[in-house]
Amino acid sequence: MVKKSLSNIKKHGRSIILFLIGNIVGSASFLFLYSQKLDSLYLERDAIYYANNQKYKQIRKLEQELAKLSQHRIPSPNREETIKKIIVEVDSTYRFGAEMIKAQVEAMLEPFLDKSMQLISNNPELVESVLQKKPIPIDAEQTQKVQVHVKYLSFYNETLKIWVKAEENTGEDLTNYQK
Amino acid sequence: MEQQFWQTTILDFFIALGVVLGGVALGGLGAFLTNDYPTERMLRLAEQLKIWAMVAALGGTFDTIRAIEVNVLGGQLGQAGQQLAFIVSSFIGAHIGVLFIRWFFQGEI
Repeated sequence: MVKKSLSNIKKHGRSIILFLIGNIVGSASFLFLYSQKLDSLYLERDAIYYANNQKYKQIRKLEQELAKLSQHRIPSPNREETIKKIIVEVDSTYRFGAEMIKAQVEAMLEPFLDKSMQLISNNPELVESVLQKKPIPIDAEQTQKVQVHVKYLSFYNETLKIWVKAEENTGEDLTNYQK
Repeated sequence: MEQQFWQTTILDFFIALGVVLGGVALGGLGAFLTNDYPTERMLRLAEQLKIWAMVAALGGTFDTIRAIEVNVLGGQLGQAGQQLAFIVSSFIGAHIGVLFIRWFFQGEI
């Protein structure tokens, strides 16, 4: 049985190879025609993943808050308003990587969580200084990096919403240059 | 002799063009299979493959450069010029490949 199928493969070897080559050529041509559509679908998928992730985080945070409130029953009325959530909006010249920038900016701004809103609104340069510390890579190989700058900050209902502008990181960091 | 020169020049041009176009097409297929953005990857691959397309077309740049050195030192400037023409031809082939890919996906050169 095995011998028979091996001899069959040998007999039709050329057809099999042609079939495989045809497949490759066909899929490459398909890609040339539809790759831009695929790109936009991938972008949409990434945006949905990101939004889903954010919702999941929010649900977890609300659950924790609920648990905390149920423990303390009566909240103190003079409590200082603190940042509980950070939302990042990116204005980028690049078509790709907006979600990556959002995620990394959020990670960089994590130290501001549970800090007083008044403190940040009085010193907005604190946010800019944190973001200026390191450029953000927007691809897996970390070859392309962007520098983000704060455009606007808004404080609403324990939420810090921040708009950042991502620009190509062209400047070399000369402060670390050593001969 | 002259016919062979033109044959090699044209061959180098098309090999470099083929390496870029083929590499980009199959690289894009790989990107698609690995959940990467195909267009972005293909555009980046076109840039990255350019230099290797030239190397592949010339069959190893070292030999060509060595031939230039030997011919220049031996006073055979015509031969050295031929080697340079092969390099230029393969560069043009690779560059046209990159321009074609850019035009195809971005609509601009």
